[in-house]
Amino acid sequence: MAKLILETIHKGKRDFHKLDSFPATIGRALDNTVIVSDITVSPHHLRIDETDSGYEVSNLASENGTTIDMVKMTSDTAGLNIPSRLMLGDLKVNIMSPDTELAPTRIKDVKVGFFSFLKNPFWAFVFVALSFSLILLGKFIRTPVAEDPLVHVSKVLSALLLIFLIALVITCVSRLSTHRWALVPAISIAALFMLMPQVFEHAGNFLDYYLTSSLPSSIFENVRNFLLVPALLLLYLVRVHHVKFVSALGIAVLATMPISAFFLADLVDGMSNKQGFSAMPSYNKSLSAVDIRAKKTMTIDSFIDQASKDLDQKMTQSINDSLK
Amino acid sequence: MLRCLLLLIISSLMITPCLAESDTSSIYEEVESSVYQIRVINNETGKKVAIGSGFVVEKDSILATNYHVVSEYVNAPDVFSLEYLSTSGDSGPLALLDLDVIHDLAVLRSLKPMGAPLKIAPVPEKGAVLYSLGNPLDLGFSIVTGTNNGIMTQDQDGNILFSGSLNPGMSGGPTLDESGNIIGINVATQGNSLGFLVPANYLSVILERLAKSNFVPVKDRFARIAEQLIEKSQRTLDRFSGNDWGSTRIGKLIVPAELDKSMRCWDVSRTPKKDDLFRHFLTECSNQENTYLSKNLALGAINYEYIWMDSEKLHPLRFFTQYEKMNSSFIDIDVSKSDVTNFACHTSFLEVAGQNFKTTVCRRDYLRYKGLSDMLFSLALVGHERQGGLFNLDVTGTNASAAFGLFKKMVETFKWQS
Repeated sequence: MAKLILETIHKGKRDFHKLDSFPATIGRALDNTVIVSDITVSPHHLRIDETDSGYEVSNLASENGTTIDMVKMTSDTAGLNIPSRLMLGDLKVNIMSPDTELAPTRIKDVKVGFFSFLKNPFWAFVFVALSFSLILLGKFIRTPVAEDPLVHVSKVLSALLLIFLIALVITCVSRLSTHRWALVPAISIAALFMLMPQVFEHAGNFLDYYLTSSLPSSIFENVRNFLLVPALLLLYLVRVHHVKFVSALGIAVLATMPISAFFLADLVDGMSNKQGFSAMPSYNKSLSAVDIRAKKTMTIDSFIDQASKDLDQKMTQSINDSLK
Repeated sequence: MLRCLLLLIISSLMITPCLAESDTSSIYEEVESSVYQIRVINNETGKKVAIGSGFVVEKDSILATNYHVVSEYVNAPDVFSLEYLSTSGDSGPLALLDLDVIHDLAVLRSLKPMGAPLKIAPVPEKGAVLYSLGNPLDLGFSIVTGTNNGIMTQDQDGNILFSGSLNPGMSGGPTLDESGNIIGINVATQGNSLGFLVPANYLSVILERLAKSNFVPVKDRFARIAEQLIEKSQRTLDRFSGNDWGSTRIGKLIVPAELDKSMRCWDVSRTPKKDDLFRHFLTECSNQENTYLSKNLALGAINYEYIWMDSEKLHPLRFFTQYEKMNSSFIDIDVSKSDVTNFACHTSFLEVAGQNFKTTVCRRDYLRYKGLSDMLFSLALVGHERQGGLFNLDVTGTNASAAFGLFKKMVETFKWQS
């Protein structure tokens, strides 16, 4: 049985080497125990020796050096704890014991549970159908003139094409990077990308009227702008490609950074305008066909009483702010 | 006998112009030394930014002119200064004593005697010959002969209608009767020999107030302006409240029609088309009583509009999408950060005429004119699937409680006709 396992990670590719006898050497030269191809590693880079108290490493070359557990080796020889993470130039090397505990096996296709919808063709179809219906409804209720139903449908076809285009891009990227097509999850994700803004918009409008406040739609708008795409990407990477959560989060944040930066600039502009002067009154103008609301109807005298006090207070504050 | 009478009439017609010319020249000679050009000067460049006319009144060091002539100085006394220019070319500094923005008057003081004060007289009978003096278009002092057409009704600020050619630059100049007494102050023109004069009795009010305070200049000019605007707004709204408004129908709502004679109401509904899916009516009313405060700011406007929408064909979701688009109101005056605060609004639901209305009131306050606000009210009918009614009211340059009073009275007269 091997005494140590040496794992090299080069451009994302992991190789495992069993070390049975010592000293063992690592480098690009062909006479090494472990031969690596990374060009930042010296021909004879490192030697691992077994000692009475454990193991020690010796730096054989000084070109790009070696770090052990993030600490640069300053002397020629250093003790080696098991497990340890070494950097030989740019090459990541993990040294571990053969009896290192493994992570539990991830079940490939989740047939049940909350996230099963990603891989189920039925749900992909439902999401596409819901997106199509909500976009159609949105276009329909915004049109004030009588139009043939086919005209409304034709307006939504472009959205449907966009869903499949996004799904195609996701699938191609998936194929290139992981050698898997994952078409059904890609369609689900693309459909959710089109569906969720519609859901947010309708929910925001309903809550705006219900609460007599523009805050809900504003929150939903920011969720859509900043969280929707990273969340969908994160979901796809973690649930479909089994990428570790932290890594997937990093990828999602990095990939959506240009979009987020654009919306952030927009948000900062909006906030700056809101804090500045405006000659236009800003009040909640939402109206709803279903008159469901938290605020009760009041008499004119109570309204004038409440409004006078509220506005007096706000004006005192506003004048103080203006005088500052 | 008849021949003799005709000869007398013809000969008198030939003589009258000669008499009028001689009256005009004698009046001009009499008052020339009491009439000045008033200039607003930029302190940095020394050049004039506004000109008008003024005249000596009450005391030899007191001059009267229009507020709008000196408004730039009033609004920015650190940037501008006041100066007079006589017909003989003498000039010197002037200081502001008091003002009346409602009647567009200002009283100034000179450091030295400026000539014989003109006397104030009541407005003569309609048809009387009047002589207006001033410096039109900075071309030199002129006298214009015209006719008194009487004091206009309350809704036109009670000014005198003068049939004579007033021109820019003559503002603030005196208009005299045949005895050389001031009966009005030139204030505005609408072309075609149609001029307006402020009755001189409003000037007497300021002069009496100044005499009581021994001609001490007003301490806080903006507080004085605010006080005058609030008083005018209160007076206007009280007048409106006392009027019989009548009623008009818009959709299923019976609402107040014209609040006052000064209101001008128009129907601005979209022309219906055969394939329209909803009906849409809009009427709007506005008054003509803005008070000039500066080049960009005039206050006192009262506007209200009624909008009705209904449909038999549209699904409620579609109907409300269109209805919601109409639910927007603002006040159309040019104000900046230095004039007013931002709007603060309060929204709730009101029961009016047995129906529910989403109701908003917004207020912004003027920073210089303490106690003065712009108020905006908006009512939107809710609870009906295919019917919508909007009522928007805005009052500028008012005090909040007076505007609330008008709003309450208007809304309480709403009726629902099913």
